[in-house]
Amino acid sequence: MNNNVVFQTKNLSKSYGSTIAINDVSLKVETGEIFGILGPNGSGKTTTLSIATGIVDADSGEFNWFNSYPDHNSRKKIGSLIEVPHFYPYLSLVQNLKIISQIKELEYNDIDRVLKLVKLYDRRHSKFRTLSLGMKQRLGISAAMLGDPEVMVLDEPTNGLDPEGIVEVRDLIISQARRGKTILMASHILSEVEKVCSHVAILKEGKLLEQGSVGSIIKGKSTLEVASEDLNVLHEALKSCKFIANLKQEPDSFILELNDDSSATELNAYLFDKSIILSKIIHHKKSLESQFLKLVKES
Amino acid sequence: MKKLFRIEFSKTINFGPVKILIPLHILFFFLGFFAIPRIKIDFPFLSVLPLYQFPHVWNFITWIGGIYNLTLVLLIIMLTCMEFSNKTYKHQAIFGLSRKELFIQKVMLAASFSFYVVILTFITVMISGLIYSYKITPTIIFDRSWILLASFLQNFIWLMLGVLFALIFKNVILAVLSFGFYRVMFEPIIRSLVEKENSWYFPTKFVSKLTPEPDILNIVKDKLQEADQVSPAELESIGETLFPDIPIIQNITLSLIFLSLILIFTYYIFQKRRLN
Ligand SMILES: Nc1ncnc2c1ncn2[C@@H]1O[C@H](COP(=O)(O)OP(=O)(O)OP(=O)(O)O)[C@@H](O)[C@H]1O
Ligand SMILES: [Mg+2]
Repeated sequence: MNNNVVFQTKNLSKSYGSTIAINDVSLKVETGEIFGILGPNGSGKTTTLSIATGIVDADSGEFNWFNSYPDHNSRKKIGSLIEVPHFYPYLSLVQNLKIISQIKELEYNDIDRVLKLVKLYDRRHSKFRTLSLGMKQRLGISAAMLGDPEVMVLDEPTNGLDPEGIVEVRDLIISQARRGKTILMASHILSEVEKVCSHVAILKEGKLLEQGSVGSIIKGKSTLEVASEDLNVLHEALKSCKFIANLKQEPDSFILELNDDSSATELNAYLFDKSIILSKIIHHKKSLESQFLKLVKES
Repeated sequence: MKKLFRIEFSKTINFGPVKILIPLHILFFFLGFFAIPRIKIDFPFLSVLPLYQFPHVWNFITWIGGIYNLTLVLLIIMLTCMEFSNKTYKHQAIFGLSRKELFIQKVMLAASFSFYVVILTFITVMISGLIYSYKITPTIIFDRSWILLASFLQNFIWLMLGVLFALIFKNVILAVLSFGFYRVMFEPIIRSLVEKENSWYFPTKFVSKLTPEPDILNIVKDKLQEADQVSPAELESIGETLFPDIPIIQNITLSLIFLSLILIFTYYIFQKRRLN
């Protein structure tokens, strides 16, 4: 057993009638990660997080929190926001957070702190129903942070926020992770995952396409475009190069993918040793976006 | 337990309909009971005053209260459906309440409402009895105080039945209509098909009879004969005529069985209901 594993699923599947929401999903989240679940609409992100937070039962497969069988008590250690936040509309923000504090068996003295973090302290006595959409979302985030939990589960945390709010929430998430907290979040916004997450799992139609660190998913697949005076010599040299994963010939250049831990500098040095001087070297750094779109289209 | 109670308390006390209907309930409870005896009815032999005197006041107030308390059934239905329409059951589960705790919350709420009625009834009975009775001894005052317990059981049953209907329909109007339909249409129709002696084995009957109506005819007859003074012997005979149909023990037993069924069924639905 790996003690660093915070959350793990094994072959999780769930259908709603004939709709397959998730199919055979196995995830592993370790301490300190900001783990993003990325996928288009309806790919099963919310379903996965709902199973994780115990509001939906999986049809098959299993999952655990902190290496133990999950029950309602393990949920008290997790701060969650699933889809839109649901509070008692006729209660004030403070009254609503008091209810959550009671459920999680926390003192009330953390309420002011989380309200200030999301800039709702001045509205603390307003009724929940009088909040704007973005304010409701921020209250949802403050509720998830109540009691400074070790783990936060956030489904589309920046949903409905203004640009400033988006930046603030992302910063909040990152600062939580810096303090050693683990965050499991779902998003369909690629740039968000790229900016915030350390790890990512890509879902499509309920199937897990890929998971790993954001770096490895982008870096391993970034491409170089190279050319030299004599393309034939270059071709021979590239073919015998050990750290090239994928090679493709273009009319007057080569497109290649490097192995995971090799860099363009290494390639350049290798070719230089063979007396080949590159006339062109362009780094096509693939964003998660192109990677994501490629994965989603391929499958 | 305490935590569940505190959560349920803050949800309930701040709920709009509760803030309106509970004061009205209290108002009508007192108004209803204290205004009527002030109205002079001109038939001397039809005075309603005995109903406000010990010991009949116990029966009278719990009996009439049985009707007023339908307000509370309406409230508990609203409070339960509200959890579904606001998706707050899901919300509470996410933060760590188990389904069993969600169930316990509503049982506590029903018990609290029933307890509230006991207090209200006790106060009303005492004020009314002490004002209007001519003869006051501890025996006369407290002899029938067990009715408070029966009334508690009765209210608890109707309230839990309200919760059950609310859980099934998740919609206030449907739940209220079907609760009403059951009590005034469905059961009476079925009951009319069986022989009268057996109609006791129907919930509406045996639960209602937990707080039997005062035997008005007999009381009035007594009044005619005794001119305002009721002797202990007379009292006893009145007491007997109050429960002409089935013994109270049998009544309570049937009610407890019915209550257990409601609780089991409610618990089961809480376990199975989809929260999202
Ligand atoms: N309660 C439900 N009843 C029936 N089908 C459902 C239910 N919840 C989800 N689904 C279906 O399951 C699939 C996955 O939905 P899910 O909400 O997990 O997607 P998602 O990745 O969160 O999408 P989005 O980005 O739009 O939030 C969808 O096809 C959806 O229609
Ligand atoms: Mg979703």
